Amino acid sequence: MARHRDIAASPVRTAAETWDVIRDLIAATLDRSEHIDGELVRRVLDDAAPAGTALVAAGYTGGADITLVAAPLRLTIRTVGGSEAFKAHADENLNPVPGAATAQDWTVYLPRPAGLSALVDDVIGGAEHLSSGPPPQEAQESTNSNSAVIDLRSLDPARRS
Amino acid sequence: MSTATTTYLATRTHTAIHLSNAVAGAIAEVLTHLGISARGLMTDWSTEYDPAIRAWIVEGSLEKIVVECHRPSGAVDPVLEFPIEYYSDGSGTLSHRHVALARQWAKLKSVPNGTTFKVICTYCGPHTDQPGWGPAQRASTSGLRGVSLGTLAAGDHASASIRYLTS
Repeated sequence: MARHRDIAASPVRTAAETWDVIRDLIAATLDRSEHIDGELVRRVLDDAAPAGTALVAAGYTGGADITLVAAPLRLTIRTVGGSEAFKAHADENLNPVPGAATAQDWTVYLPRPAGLSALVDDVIGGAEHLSSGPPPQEAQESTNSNSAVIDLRSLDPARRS
Repeated sequence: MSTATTTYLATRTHTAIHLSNAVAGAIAEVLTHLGISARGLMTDWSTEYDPAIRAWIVEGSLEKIVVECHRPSGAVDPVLEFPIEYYSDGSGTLSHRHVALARQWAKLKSVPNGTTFKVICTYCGPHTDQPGWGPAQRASTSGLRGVSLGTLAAGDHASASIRYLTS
């Protein structure tokens, strides 16, 4: 389930305020799951704030996604800066994003531009639930989910024996 | 076909936020290229740096933000300057050239381990006191060559350019 949110950044918000909004959106979204503690999410993202704030301040999050993968939800977030930030602020939807109610685990993937790679690595290196690697293209169902696997090839008449 | 337009009022506060954000991002990236951890700076930016810098830009008193890199040898090299220019008529246009300038910063040579940095603000007029800030003396820049990299960011009421001084 792919979702996207745009968050208004400079000059409507400071970089730190923008990161706080992103943190709160992700925490509120994941708090809908009975398996995930929203306060833990907030703490993890607070620890990532030095990297998140720098990425927002430099404008990199305007051109690259912050991605939350919490199967079945895959949420991409971008910041909107400059004159477009005013409209983005007016249109902003900061309600919890639907789709994470059954999530059992989660990871936030941050952009890792070359100029800030050492800072991103320093801040999130080894941290559980944070990654600077490329996010998976689709939110994968967790291994202990109750969903069934269907082999689509078996539905193809040409492949039936 | 119908069209609609909306007008937004950009204030000095917006300009101050925009310039402070841009300077924070630039300092973080330059320090990272130099091999100096920007983690502490970004941890403290929202509480120790940003409020003061925004307040001084709003009141029009901030002349320049200076970042001095102090090497273990005692040498101060390089130095990064962000001069602020004010537009009394609010005629500036919002812009942010970070990504374009990042190509220049990628050419910077790293500094020796143990190099630290200081952030110093200079003023162009009377300024309010801000918590955590006190009198400071800039290090000499004699012997350093300056390169202007042009405008980093601009708002309606001010802009910040960037100048890099190195041996």
